[in-house]
Amino acid sequence: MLAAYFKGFQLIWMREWTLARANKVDWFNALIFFVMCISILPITLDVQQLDLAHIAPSMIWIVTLLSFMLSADLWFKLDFEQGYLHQWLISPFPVFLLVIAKVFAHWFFVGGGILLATPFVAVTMNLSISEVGLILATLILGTLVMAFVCALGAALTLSLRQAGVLLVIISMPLNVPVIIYGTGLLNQFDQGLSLSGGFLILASIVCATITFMPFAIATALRISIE
Amino acid sequence: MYLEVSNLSYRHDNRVIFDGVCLSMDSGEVLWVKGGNGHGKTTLLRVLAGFYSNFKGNIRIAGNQYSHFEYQGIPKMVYIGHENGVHPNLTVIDNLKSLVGLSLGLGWFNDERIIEHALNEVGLNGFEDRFAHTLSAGQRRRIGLAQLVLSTNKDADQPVVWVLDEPFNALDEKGISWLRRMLSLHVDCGGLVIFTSHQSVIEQLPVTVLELANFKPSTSQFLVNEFEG
Repeated sequence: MLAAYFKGFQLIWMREWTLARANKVDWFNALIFFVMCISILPITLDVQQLDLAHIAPSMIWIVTLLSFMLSADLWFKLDFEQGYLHQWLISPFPVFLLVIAKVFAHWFFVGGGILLATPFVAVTMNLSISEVGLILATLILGTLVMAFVCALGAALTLSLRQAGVLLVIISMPLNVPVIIYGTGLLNQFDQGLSLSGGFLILASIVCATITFMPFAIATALRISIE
Repeated sequence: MYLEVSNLSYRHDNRVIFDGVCLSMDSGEVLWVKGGNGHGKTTLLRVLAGFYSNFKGNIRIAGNQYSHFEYQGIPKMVYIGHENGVHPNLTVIDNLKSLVGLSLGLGWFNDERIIEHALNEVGLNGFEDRFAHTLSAGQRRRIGLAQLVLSTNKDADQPVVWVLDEPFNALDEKGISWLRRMLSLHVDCGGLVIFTSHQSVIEQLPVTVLELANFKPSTSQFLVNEFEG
């Protein structure tokens, strides 16, 4: 049973890995979008009056969410059009397992790129080392939730021709809790409060997401394909 | 009897796609689903493959009876639909690895020797590292059909069922005769084949024909005639 699960996970993981290596555009787009947005925002702000380090964490969080929603549109699209997702439904592997593998792979590539770029953009916004560390720690957990929620939006809107806005409308409200607690942690850090409570809430959101979302996404895929 | 279907009907949006379909197959048999455009051939194949669980009627596989919502599809099956499941941005060899690994439950199938043998068999040798978007429709179809090479005679205790929706489409004459040989080889190994086609391309096999009539609620007619070729 476990060996079969491992095989299914490895299959989709290796496939996504090969795909990501062959076409870097897929995840590079999200990364470029992230860096561009973060660097263009200070231009529009009055940095003399405003403490950039104060708003930088929430900027990084919001732009991360936007880049996830931007790329999520394409996560299932080609596999759906070419009939590979149809094979998911009738394969010996449970669909939720394949979903986990696929979303983890996209989280790894899109989220990984953003996490790698974050220290560099953070430096340009006067954030201290400890703040950058905290942003990275919260973002690792936050991007996991974003990946699963955006995948649900993508799966639900799969069979529609113009899914873009609907995907945002579906996944934005579902991302609100993780954004509140993620950015809340940074405020608590500013005020010198204890962080363990916030981290535990964030981690429990991640646990709930990873537990329930794959089944929801699998069902959404089944509905879209039918 | 390996596969038995009784009184199968399926509606979509309150429209009857097909109704009262009965069929039975044993290992080593071929079922040819015939019918005009829009008569529900593809839908019937998809119901049998396990895509749609909201059908009415009973499906019995290897002695286990299933009604709707319990049905999970045929346990050992290769389904090739109108799309082949080929990703344009993967190479031919990686496409076949991920297809076979999924349909036969093998995981990321890394035995290059066996994969290359299958690609040789479908005439794609030399194309291993080409991206699928550079290939023609017929060549992409051949990647999908290469799954068949790897699934025949896989294990003797449980027959593999091939569910093929218009498998002869986009193939040239050599491809068609190869696929014919493949079908008879599979049948000799005790496998089952369910397929749809508009051409009469398999004369030399023991074929059961299931003809789906255009379904209008007043004329609920369908015909089953059997002949041994």
